[in-house]
Amino acid sequence: MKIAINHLDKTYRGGIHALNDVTLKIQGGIFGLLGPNGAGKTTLMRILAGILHPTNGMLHIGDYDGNTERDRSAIKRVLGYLPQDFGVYPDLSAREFLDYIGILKGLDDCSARKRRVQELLEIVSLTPVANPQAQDILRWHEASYRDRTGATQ
Amino acid sequence: MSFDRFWYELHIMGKWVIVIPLLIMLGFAFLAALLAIMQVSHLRISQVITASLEMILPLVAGLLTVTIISHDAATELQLTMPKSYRGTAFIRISLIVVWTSCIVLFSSVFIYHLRFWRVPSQIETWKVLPQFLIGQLTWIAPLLWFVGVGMCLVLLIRSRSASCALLGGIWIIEAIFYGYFAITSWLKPMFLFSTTLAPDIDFWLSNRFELLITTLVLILLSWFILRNTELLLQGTAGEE
Repeated sequence: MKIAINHLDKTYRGGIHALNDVTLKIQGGIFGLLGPNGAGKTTLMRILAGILHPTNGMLHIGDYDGNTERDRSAIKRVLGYLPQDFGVYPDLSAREFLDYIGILKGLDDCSARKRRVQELLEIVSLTPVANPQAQDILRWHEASYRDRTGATQ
Repeated sequence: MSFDRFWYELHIMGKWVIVIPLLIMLGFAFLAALLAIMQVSHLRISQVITASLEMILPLVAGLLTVTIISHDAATELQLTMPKSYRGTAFIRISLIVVWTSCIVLFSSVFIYHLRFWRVPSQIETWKVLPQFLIGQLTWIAPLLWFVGVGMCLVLLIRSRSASCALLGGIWIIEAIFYGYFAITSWLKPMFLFSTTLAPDIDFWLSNRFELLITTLVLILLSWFILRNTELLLQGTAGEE
């Protein structure tokens, strides 16, 4: 999916300029975004994920216009976002967590959602620790399991 | 909305959200039984029971609301979902309110039949059914008020301890200085515990509706504040 960012600005309430005239074209594939602390990487990622709204500028993700509320909602349906600080719900197992995320993503068909969760758990080799037994809940909160679950959602 | 969604939201909030209001109500039932055995006056027992419905459980619901809204382990992830976080927050708060209301409503049926129900003077002459139904405003109004205030406070202050302290402070002021609330005209719409502490006031009904209107305003305000993702992300990693 292509991403096109044109003259993007973001000023937080309080007057902090996080992004100033950012223009960027990203083709499909893997793209690394590097910069020192405070450069605005997180702000840019959050704008791409539809969490924050830009102050100025244009944003297109695929065929979607990131400046409109309707398209932002459509982007959220297809986008996978792993936050820097990926928190988990301590009482949910990996399978339950992914099922819950599926519900929030709008996968309302229960059996299709559960099938998809099973497929994804198998892809990231989390099936053995995905069930809601107490020991498994503890195990999946270990960093490696947590990160794999994060990537899976 | 699916049953799974409710189940997960309850699971995420934790068992204590279910257990605490239930334990408090059972505790007060036990206390009332103890007072009855000790042959304490009927009036005093009914005051204690009414206090549990009007003063204690609403405060507990407010504190639970503050706790639930102040922290979500996956706030940033929630904000990237097509289903809005404010919807999720309101589902969680609704679950607290509905569960607490179920406990109080169930208890109030027993309290009424055991003749411990404290009826405000203003509706004393009403027929049984409307009296019982309108009498439920005894707990509904303060319950929703505490939930609304708790939600607004924690969204504005972004601190669980400060919001809980403020709610506690309001509760103490209302309980100690209730006389002022009963006689000062501008304080009357904020008089939360009128059934327990001053059931003879002549503005009981209007007071209950004023509390409900205040709650509605606070909930609308919270709905708008929950749109502010910048505010919700304060303190998370990467916040510039």
